Amino acid sequence: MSAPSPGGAYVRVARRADVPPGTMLRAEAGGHAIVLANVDGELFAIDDTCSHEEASLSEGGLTGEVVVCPRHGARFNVKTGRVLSLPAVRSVATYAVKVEGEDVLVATEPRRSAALPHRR
Amino acid sequence: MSSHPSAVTSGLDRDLIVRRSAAADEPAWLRDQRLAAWEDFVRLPLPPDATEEWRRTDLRPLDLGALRPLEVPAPSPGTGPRPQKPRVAGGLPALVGDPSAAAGLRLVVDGVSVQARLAPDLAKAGVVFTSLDDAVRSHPELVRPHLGSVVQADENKYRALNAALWQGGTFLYVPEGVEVDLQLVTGTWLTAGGVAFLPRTLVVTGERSRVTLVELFGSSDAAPGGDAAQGAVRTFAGHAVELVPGRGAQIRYVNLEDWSRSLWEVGIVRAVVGRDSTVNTLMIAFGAGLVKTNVESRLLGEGATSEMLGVLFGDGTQHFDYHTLQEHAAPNTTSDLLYKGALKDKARSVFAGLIRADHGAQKTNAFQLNRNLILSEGARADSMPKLEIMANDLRCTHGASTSRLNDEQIFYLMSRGLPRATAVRMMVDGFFGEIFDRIPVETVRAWLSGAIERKMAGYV
Amino acid sequence: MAVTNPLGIDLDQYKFGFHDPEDKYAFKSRKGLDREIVETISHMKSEPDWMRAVRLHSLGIFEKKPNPTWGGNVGEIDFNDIYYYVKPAENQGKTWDDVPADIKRTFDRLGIPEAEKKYLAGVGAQYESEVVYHSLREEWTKQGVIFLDMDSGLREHPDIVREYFGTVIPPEDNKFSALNSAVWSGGSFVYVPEGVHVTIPLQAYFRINAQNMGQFERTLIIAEPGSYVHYVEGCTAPTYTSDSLHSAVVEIIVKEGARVRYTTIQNWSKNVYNLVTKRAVAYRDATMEWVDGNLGSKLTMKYPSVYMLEPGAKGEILSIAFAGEGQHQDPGGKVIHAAPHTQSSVVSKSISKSGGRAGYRGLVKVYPGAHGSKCAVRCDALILDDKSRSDTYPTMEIDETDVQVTHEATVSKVSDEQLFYLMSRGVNQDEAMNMIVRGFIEPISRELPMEYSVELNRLIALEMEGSVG
Repeated sequence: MSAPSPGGAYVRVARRADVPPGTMLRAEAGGHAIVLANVDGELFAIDDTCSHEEASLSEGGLTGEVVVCPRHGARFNVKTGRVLSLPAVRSVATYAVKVEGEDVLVATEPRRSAALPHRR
Repeated sequence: MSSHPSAVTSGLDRDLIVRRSAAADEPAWLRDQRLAAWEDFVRLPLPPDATEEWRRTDLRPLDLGALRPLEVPAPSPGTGPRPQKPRVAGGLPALVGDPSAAAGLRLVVDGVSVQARLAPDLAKAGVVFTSLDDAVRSHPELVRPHLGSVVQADENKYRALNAALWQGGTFLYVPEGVEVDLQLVTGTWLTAGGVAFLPRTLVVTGERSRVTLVELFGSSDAAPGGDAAQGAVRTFAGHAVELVPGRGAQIRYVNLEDWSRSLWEVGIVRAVVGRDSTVNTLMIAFGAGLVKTNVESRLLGEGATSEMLGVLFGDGTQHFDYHTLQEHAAPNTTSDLLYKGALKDKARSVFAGLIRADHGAQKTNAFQLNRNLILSEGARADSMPKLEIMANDLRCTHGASTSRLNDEQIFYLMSRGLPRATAVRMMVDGFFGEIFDRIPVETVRAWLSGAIERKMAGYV
Repeated sequence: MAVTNPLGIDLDQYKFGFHDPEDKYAFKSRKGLDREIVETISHMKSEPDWMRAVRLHSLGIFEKKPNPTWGGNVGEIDFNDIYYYVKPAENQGKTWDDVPADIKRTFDRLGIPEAEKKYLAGVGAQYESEVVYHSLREEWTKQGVIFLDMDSGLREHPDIVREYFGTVIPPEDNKFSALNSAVWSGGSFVYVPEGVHVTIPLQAYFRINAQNMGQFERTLIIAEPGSYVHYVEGCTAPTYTSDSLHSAVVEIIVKEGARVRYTTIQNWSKNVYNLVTKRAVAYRDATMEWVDGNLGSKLTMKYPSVYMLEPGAKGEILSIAFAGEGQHQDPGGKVIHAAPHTQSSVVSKSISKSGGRAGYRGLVKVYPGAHGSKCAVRCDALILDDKSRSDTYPTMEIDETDVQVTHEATVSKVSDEQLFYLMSRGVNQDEAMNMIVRGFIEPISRELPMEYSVELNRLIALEMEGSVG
């Protein structure tokens, strides 16, 4: 486990090999249910709980940087947490990810976004 | 508990039924009824959580397979309470209140009767107030026609479990024309944890009689204080109550639960209200980690009426789910429902009330009101008042609202010198006042008042 | 990997299948739905790859999702007994003689002109309003308003369509939005630029082509900030069709300060399943109004929704439903308050007679943080006889303490006193009933464009005949 870095604590949640490109993995960081997503080799982490009816996003589909909730098709950008389609109306929180060797570490504190689906 | 038909719970199984039935010397008809219900229990899957009735209450963490049966020494035929009484558990007296304010009183701890009395004049008039176990043997002609007639085993898996394995329970019979002014009270306490507790209540009354039955429930099992830890085996209470008034009779039924947090309850209270009879129910829910109960009045006879009241107060992560039914199946029937709930911390309530008027239920009067008071961010009340109307000459209204404390009123009270906590308390009392005015049982009102005080302690 | 944003669909997964794109004339129209049909639809319309991928992805979703277990009974729909593309030639040769007698009678009673009758009965593909339509088109082009059928919209403005398509109603939302996303054809594409007010209501029947009465219309309306448009679809005259399933999707985006009103009067013939998903998103200080009239069809399940995402957004839903013999109207609406100081109002009026079943099914959802929001729901039902049925299924999920949410519902019959009063003034019983029912729906019918409300009243009068005694 890494020592807390400036800006908050991190916890080790997985190994790199657990999350190959184009896949997702559900994990827990600081009491939050999160999902790790590998987009072209880079890892990102967002809330696992869909902001619509609390389904698990890790059980949905990941295409590029878009995760699709399995229940009603709400879409989120895994890099920014931004909600991309209804019926979800709230973006999900993102968590900073650090990779140290084979270890994947995720910040325990979320960063929340107020972004909405359509641009002005 | 998997939904595979042949999966069997550890301890709760067919053998248990056969053994117990034999040890208690139950009549064959009852043993057969239990076994048929067991078949239903094994066959029926857990209710699908995608349906509207079940989707807001997540019962998946309840593992029926991990429950043990409540081991109760079988009652010896013909005698009342056993000679050596277990101590009356700590919380029970507080729940019961003034014992003299009851024309009949039965106290049961961990399934064992520790006190049973009935006013002599009532006994002489033919009132029967015993455990259902005893009544099966002492008054089969009163029990057999009605047991399982109002709540059937095959309605869902939980009803089947109760029909197969109910123990102890309450039986109340009031003969024709007998009017009982003072309430009859049962107080039930559990200290055992991780068990399946399955009481069953049957009330049968004769024409033009009148009676009030108050049933109190509480527990103090060994789980750690506060909300049950994840993975702790819960205690499960599965209750079924059948109310059968005679023509022109009145039954008032009060069900008050203050279970400990590690207990989950799934129950049903159903009344079959015939011609010119009245059933008034009052449900009070302050305890338990989760309650999912159906409260139903089926108005099948002309002139039938039913008042249905509910009071609930959730805190912590309590979850209350009440599905009610006002069914009007005959002309000139009246129902009036008022359910009020207060929620603080992260508690959650679900109210789904259906008023149904069948073809031919003309001149129905049906009212329904659900009011919720949210005391904290994070608490939530879902309200679904529903109507299915197939008669066209009727008066039918429903309403629902969810609100929070009115800041201006609090400020007004504080400006009169009241500390904030007192002002808030007064407003919460005011919120529940409407229901208080409709509860004629003094001990219940007294308990309610104290319980609200306890729930509000520390709230600002 | 090629990905279609924002829906995140992998194009590589949905490359062309086993069908030679050059060989289009080899395709024979047939019933039933499979990948080949979906690819053919997309190919015939010369669609971009990403839309074909969306269709194929949606087909997979449609096949996986089960029928809904609530609402009306959709269990009898045979999905294999439907033409999803290109009906065979024999249907197109319909003549006026083929139209059922009772439909013809209704046209006469409503006083519908000859040409319109034929058009509505599906025997003519053209309608004389073509001339009117062209001159309006010039006006709109000057303002920058785009009003096209959806196919043309996709062809001429692919970037706009791609940005919004499926972001209000994704394919996975429900089984019928998945179906529509796979086989959609026709519908309207409306784009109103910033600050533009479209003064004349846009009417669906102005889009002259055979897809006007399409089963799987897809409509997308985008109102840029400060704009206004009123879109009207449908008609009170009975729309005769042999198609048994009508499953449309309507997505509307109302941006800051804009206002959109969408009026529908549907009177599909009584063999039709009308299962529609309609949803709007309203941003800051924007207003969305749904006016929804449901008179026809065997079963209608339709819940126009407004999602209020920024402060000051407003939503209004006005719903009328009339269910006669053999009909089940299950309309309603959803209002979602996801921002502070949002307001909504739902008024539902339903009438059932002769064994019909009409109702209201709705949701009021208030998210945490939507403080200062208000919502009032009012459902009134009139049951005209003791064979008919009315249902009310409102749901309230309130997660915010500082809000006012109220719900009231009443169910009643026509009051004897009112009838007696009118009859004692010399009005005959039929006409008295009509007046009372007209008064019952007046709060909503007065919101319709005048010619619609006149026709609506006449149609209700027709339906009411024989309702007394």
